[in-house]
Amino acid sequence: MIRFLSLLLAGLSLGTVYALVAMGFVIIYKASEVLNFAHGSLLLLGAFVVARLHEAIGFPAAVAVAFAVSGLGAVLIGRGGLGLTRQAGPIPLTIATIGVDVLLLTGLTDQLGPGIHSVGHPWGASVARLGQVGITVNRLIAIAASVLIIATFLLAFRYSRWGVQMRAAAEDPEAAALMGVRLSRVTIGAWLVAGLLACAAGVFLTGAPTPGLSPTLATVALAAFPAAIIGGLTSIHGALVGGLAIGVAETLATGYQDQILFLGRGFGSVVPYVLLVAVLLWRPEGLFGERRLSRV
Amino acid sequence: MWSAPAASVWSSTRGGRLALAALGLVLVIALPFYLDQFWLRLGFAICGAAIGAIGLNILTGATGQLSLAHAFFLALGAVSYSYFAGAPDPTRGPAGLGLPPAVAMVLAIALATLAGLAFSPVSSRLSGLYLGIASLSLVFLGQHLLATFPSITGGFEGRSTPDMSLLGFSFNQQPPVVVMGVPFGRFEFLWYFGFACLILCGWTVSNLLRAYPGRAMRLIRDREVSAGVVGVNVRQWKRYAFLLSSGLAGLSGVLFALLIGSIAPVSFTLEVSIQYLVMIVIGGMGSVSGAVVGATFVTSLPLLLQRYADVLPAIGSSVSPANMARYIYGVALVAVLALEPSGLVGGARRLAGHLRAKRIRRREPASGSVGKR
Amino acid sequence: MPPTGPIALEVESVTVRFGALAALSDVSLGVESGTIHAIVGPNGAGKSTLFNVVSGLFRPSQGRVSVLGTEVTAAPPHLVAALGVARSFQNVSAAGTDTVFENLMLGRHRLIRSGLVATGLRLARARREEQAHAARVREIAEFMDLTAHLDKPVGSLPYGDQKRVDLARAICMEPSLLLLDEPAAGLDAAETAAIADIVVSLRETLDITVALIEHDMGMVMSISDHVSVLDFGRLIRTGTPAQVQADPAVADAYLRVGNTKAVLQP
Repeated sequence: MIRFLSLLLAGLSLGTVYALVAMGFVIIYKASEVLNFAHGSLLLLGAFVVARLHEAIGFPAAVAVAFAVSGLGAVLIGRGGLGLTRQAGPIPLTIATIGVDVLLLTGLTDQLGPGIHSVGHPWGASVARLGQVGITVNRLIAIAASVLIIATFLLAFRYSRWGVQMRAAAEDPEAAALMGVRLSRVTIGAWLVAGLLACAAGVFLTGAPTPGLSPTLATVALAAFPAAIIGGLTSIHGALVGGLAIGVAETLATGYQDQILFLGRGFGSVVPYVLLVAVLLWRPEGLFGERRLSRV
Repeated sequence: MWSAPAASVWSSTRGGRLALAALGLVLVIALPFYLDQFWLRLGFAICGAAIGAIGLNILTGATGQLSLAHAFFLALGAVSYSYFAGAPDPTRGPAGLGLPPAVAMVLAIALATLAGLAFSPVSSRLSGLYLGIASLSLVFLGQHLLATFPSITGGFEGRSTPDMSLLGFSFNQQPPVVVMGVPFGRFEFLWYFGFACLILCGWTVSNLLRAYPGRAMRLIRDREVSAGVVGVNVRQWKRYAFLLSSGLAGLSGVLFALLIGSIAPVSFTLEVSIQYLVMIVIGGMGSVSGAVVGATFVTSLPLLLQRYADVLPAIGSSVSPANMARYIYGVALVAVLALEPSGLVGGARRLAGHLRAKRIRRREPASGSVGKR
Repeated sequence: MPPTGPIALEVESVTVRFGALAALSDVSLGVESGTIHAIVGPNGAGKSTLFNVVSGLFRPSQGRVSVLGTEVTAAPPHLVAALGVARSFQNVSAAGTDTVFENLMLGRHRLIRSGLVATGLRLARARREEQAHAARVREIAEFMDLTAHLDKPVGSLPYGDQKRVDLARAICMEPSLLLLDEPAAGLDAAETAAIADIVVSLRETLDITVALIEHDMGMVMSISDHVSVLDFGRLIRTGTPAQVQADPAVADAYLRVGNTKAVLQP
């Protein structure tokens, strides 16, 4: 039971971090109708900056710079997308983000080199105890910070001027433009927020499941994409639910992998994708996705 | 931006096209007598990649279904071939069924196609973008399976691939067969085999894309809602596209396994799927020639960079050839999408069309505006 | 008004809801075979929704739809098309870069019998069939005065010609029932008259039943055998053009929306 609870807690921690990534992913989709395959490398970029700078300027400052860099990177990609032939459709734009991802990933992997690099978390690898349940401090802070960030973001999305404009633009771009919403500003704002969320996730994902930064981080982040789809690509709340579900499922599967050895060692990392296919078989638009009724 | 098979880039007359085809055939037959192994291997690699790219171009280029699962079907083809044709002696590494290689190849392609069929209830109900993410599942599932069943797949180290032989004639003749004074080894035969497969597949798919299947698929890509109303069974056609794509990927996988002589999970990662996507975008989405051009570009790049590393600056010292190739095709991908979304072939077609129109205009200067504009 | 011939299209008590909004409420009408039946009404009355239901794009919350004797209420669009229903679109839906010929050949899709293998290997029978369909397409293009444009990209044609391509594509489907969604929208008087002539000759020479949504009252009154009037998703009146013109409830519907031009005078 103790084991289950600590795995559950760890899963929720991973889930909230996945939710950060998934929500950013969905926000970009709502704003630009594109799947941002460069999201993983934005995440890696943020962690990379922290890893490189934390020794020189200290962890908090490094994180601040990382946020700025990730945000800027995201905005540049988003701006590029706006300049690109918009009428070419979402698939060419999505493929363009794949191109950016290849470039970023290759560059960062080149710079990083092999091995694992320290990101300099001030809380190190210490473990906290909640009663009999143990959890690493990193995971604890990840949950707390992620919940805070998510709550702030959801509130902003619902009540702030930017949030209302974003929702209006996603719903009906023409009407929104007629009402004075600057679509390009809203879109850039969306990308910026997504970049910041990705950076935060990167900082936490380098603490757990595996401490330290290695190029495989981008692949780990990829697991958040199923989360976004499971929730339905148009729903922010869906991304939150999807992220939590995937985080918990993956952690439990990894934790209990001795019990499910017949599925193969390391099945935990495949769980997000199995879950994705299962949900899509049941609901092709995702759990909370809207069925598009296109006007003929 | 999407190109449909239209008039040929190179020649607008039937005679012209036949002449070019004949020239191509002569080159294919004659070159192995002159080229060294590096170029023969490159040629064969391009054939294999082109077949895979043709498959992806049917699914993503023509039907508009973004798929990153290509690596999975490549793996399936490669592993199944190695297993079906592998020696059945378990004491010498991963086991096999010991079937004749040609039979093993056909079975491998069939298996890849069946896998595509198994996944099609998911793939045909999804929109193009959703499939992009869902197809990731197959890639990671594939990686997991490759590692989990070492008795079939050889686990992380992989396994070796038996040589191809047709009707009892092995491609790896020891001592090598001598043809017109030139010793023919494995790669000479593989060159002909590869081109034969490519020509057959390319011709067949080209016929499909020019006729009603291609039209139906392109309508699904451009106006899916209208497709149903016109009478196209959208789900069924998405399924066909997926099946064709996975079958061709299976064949491509077999050829890849024959090229390298062994297979390992690292050959079938997400990056491989992305490389095929790069091929069809750079070459031109939706056409056979686009797939071939793109495959040539992406396949040759790292190999040529490696071969000429000492001649080119910046390679080897700071940037590995593989990474340099990635930078180049990454930039090429974004550049193509920004500047000439119909790819190299599409751009060439447009240029040819302009030149032709100019020639016509020059011939009839007094007729005012030619055609409606 | 009791129908006097076999019914090509039967709509029974169809209701379509989008959330709380009822786009169609309890609409029933019947289109007789071999007639031209116009569906009119102010903007937003539910006319296109009705066509979308018949085509199989929307499923009604209540009611039934039957086409040429077969129930199609829950059928997917391609099955409705297979029964012989063709439709033209309000926004021309042809892919802009394809040629007119390619677009028309799309209309032949449901009639093609050759399988994938025969087509891929260019077997003789597949080639023959393709040639037969191409010949028929050229015939129809001739009929629609599009022969000169066959090799041009559809997107490069003027709007009126694009609409004719769309209509021609629908005819290439060899339909028994043709659903025309505002065929005269955006056309000048001469083009409208041309379309009207085409529609009438379709009925005469090919015996196609035509259901037509239109705002141009002149065209509607002159060529229709029957007219149904929709307003706010409800059917107000079905009858001959004369009967509908004289009905005060119809005039009310139009006047209320301020659409004075369309009232009464053809």
